[in-house]
Amino acid sequence: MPAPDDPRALLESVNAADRDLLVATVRSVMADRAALRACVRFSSAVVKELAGTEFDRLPNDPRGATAVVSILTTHPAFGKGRDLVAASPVLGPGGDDPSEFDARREAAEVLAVGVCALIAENLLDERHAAALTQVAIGADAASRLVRDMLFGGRTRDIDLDLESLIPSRLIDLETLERMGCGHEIAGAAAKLGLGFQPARAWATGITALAPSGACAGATITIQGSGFGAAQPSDVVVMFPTRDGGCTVAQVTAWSDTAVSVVVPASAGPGCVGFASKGTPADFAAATHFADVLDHCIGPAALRVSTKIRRFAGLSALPCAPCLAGGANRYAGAGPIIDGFTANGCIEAVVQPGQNVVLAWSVRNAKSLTLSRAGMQGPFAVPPTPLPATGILDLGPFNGTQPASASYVLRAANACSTETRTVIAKLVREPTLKISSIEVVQAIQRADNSVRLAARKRTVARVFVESGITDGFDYGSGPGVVPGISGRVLVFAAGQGFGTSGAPLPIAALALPAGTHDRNLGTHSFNVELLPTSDLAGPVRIDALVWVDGHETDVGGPWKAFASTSVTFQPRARQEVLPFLISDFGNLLAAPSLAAFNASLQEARKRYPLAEDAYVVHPPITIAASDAFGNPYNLAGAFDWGRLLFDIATMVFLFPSTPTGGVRAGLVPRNGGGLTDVDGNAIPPYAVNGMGSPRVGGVAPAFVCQALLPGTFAHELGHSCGLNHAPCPALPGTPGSGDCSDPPSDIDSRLPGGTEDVGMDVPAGAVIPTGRGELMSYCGDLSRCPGPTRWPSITTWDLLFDTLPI
Amino acid sequence: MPSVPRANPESWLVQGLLLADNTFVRSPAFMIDAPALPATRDQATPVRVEALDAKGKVLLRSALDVSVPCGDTAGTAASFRFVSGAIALPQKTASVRFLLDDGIVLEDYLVPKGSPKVSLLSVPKPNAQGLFTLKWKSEHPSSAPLTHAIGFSADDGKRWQPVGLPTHANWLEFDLDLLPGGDACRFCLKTTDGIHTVSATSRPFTLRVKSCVAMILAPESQTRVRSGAPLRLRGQGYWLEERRPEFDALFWSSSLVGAMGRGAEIEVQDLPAGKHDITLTAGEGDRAGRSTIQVVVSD
Repeated sequence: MPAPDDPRALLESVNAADRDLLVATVRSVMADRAALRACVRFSSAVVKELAGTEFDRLPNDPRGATAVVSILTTHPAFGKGRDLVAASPVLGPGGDDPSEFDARREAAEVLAVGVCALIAENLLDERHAAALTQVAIGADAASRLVRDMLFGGRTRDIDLDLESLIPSRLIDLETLERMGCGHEIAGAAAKLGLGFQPARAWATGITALAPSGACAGATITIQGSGFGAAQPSDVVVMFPTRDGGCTVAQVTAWSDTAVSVVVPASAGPGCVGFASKGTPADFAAATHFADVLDHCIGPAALRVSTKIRRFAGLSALPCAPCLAGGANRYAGAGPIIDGFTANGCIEAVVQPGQNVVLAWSVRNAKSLTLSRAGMQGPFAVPPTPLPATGILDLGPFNGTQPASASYVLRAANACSTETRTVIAKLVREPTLKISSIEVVQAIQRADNSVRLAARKRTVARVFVESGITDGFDYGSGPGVVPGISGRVLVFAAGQGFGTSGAPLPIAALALPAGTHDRNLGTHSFNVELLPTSDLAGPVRIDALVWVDGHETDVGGPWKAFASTSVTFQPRARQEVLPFLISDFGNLLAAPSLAAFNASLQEARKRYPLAEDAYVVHPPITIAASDAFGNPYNLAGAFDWGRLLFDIATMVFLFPSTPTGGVRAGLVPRNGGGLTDVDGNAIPPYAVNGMGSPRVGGVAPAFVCQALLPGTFAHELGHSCGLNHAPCPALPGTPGSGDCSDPPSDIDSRLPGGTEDVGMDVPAGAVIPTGRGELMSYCGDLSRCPGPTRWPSITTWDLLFDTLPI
Repeated sequence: MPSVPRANPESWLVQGLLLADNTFVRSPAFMIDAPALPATRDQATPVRVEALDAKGKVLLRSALDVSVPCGDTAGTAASFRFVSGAIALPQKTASVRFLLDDGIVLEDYLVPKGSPKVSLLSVPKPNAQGLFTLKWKSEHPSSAPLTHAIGFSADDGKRWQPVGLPTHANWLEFDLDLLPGGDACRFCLKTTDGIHTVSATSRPFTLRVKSCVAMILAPESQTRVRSGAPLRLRGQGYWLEERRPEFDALFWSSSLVGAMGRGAEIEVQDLPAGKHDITLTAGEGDRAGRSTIQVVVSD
């Protein structure tokens, strides 16, 4: 016999003695699955967390209460009056083990469930309250088993490995006594049962309803005997409702043999009878019980204690039972459409050629009609008269474009008319597939073979196939599915989590296989990848796309996934020394540093360098004037050349200058239309910009007008050693200055236009193949004005190998 | 003794514009502390240089680079070409002849007799701030026109940076607040008569160490945005003394909403209507620098 001061040994002994009982209990409980479900339903209703403004009542579920009590009373504390051996660590100050929180919450929930069920069964007294407390806090296997069964193995499988069930920490009886919580809980629970009478319903004495089928608002008389001379203060008449529940009906007359009531607006077929609200639990007692739970169990009890406080004193009204023979059955009110579906749904999705099948079930209707609203969708003449329950196959829904068919079921009787509408939508289900993912910074080939710079703004273009081959047209063309959305994640090497990209505001399409045009932005789902440190080195890019409205689908034909891997190469920084140059002669102020940056941005997006690769030195502000202080005349190209020489020369006079990099001069924008202070026209500048590669004594330097889109990047290209791209191309008339006048100093390495598809990432715009090359005179405000010039792959590669300079 | 540009330069820096009518407009040339640069490209119309002694004997022939400047113009290209090169002139050079296509003489340049003499007249007072006018005295024994260029060093001549463009005047005004500070600052004056180049270096002086230069690169001051529209801010700092950029310690704030974010580029939204003084603070502590622009947010 274990020593009385060794609770663990005592528990082992008790558990061993209970083994056979526990096995038998589990078998019997598991054998009655319906009762177990009722028990779990009841328990869940008691402990479920309140959401928002939910104002539920404690469960009015006699069957569930019975099932709970039935399980509780399998414990020896109920049946044999056995005393507690040791408690689980669910009372008093919390321990360090976080799992104890769950155990404490479970103890509180068992107490709440048990109290509700015992009250409903009118069994809550001191003895049962003490037994319930033992079940809730007991460390013995029987208590644990009962707790498990009350919640149907909610948090763990029902376990009969008795040795493992003993908690690692125990509260012995002496400690428990010192705490006082065991007695306190049982005492508070027992007080809840005092004077409590549960709500009840009955139909005793009813012999007939007259009439039994009146409409809402009419008066019917409940005939019978023993109703009493007058309506008792705690008795109401319950009327069945259309949703299967019941509601209180207004009594207009009451005698011992007849009770007249007004048929409620929500009345439906069912049984009429009486109900008593019963005697609610005492509010003060319930509040005290909740306080005790909080005090003894702690924060883990808060969920159920809050609910107990909130619903203390409330009691639900039950519905009346149906009498044998149907004496209290009400068959009136309007018709009820229990179901009306198309292909099993209120709103069915049908593929071309698929049949539309209507099904319905109606009660209480005198007349029934079925019709099609509008002309879309198949239809078949329904049988006459239409049966209350039926199925009608309307045949195939054909079409090559989305369509919607509506079907109306109308049921009527003397009380009212009910209608229900179902819809069949004709769609062609796609089979989305990602055919490729292109990763582009300025220009790219379809195979992603153009090099990528680390930490540079990048777009992933996800090309999606629709899988539609029959030409079904959603309005964007045969086989094309609009509304493609998705998500692109970047996974840096060795990083377990991805960084999400930002979709560009371009409406993306899924197209039939082989019909994508890479020059069109809408032919891909485009996502910008932010230039974080994730865009460095080898990177995996995952793309998940879907048709709008299907983002929550678990897989399926409206979604597709693919992945690709690319490498972002590290790049060194490029230093830039800004010269902000005022037009001294015309009193035009020097451009601002922000204007300089706007020009630099035009290079930033075209050049293979990281976003933060440009080191901008503090700007030098100078006037456009010669060594004598005479203003340069920028309306002539000659003085542009002198100004450029002045800037370029500086680097050679002080060759150890620390302000390295490209000397980038910016003069005001003057394309004509400006006037001086006297209103005289200022002649437009002779050139947009002027630059020269580092040859001989000319440093990498250039000067250009502010606020021109491509010129800064073009002239910077010269500083990087590039000459002109052949556009406009020969044959032309060199020297004519028109659009057939090719630039001088052709760089034989460069094409006249871009060889592949590009992307202006900051603008979110695709640059089609054949765009005027950055180093050409085709585009912007150059010799052949047009869309902004863009680097070819050749230029990109040359810059990749040249920069920084 | 500081390392200043050497008095015995190695090559002659020649630059000029060759006009369509074969007029050669040559910029004032300096001797530079760098080796001669050979012509780097094949030229369809090469310009060559001959260095001659006093008897007209050719001491050296060398090619200069000729390039057509890019005008990126809507109209006719610039009607001139760049000519440039760095030539190691022999000691006995008395004149230089510029030839086009080995036949057309563009210019016969006579080397001035004697060298310029220069001396700096002033240096800034210790920790001076703001605009400062550097003055010097110059003369030439044969009264040849002189061209001057100013360099500045904050590390006792280890590294130099240009201050202003070349000038014929004997003074140059510039802002000391834009130069790095230290207690071993110097100016260097380089003066050329077109070929002879001499230098004068100032005694060391002290300029205060500067705060990190805060540069708001975007948007422009006085930018107007509608309430609710995103406002993208881009900035950068620069430590003049350390000669390094600052991309991290950049803090953005608004006079109306307070702190807005950190970094070289941030995007802010939902700014309240009103006139915001947007301030970029670059760096931290005593040397934090600030720059402010105004942005107007309208309803």
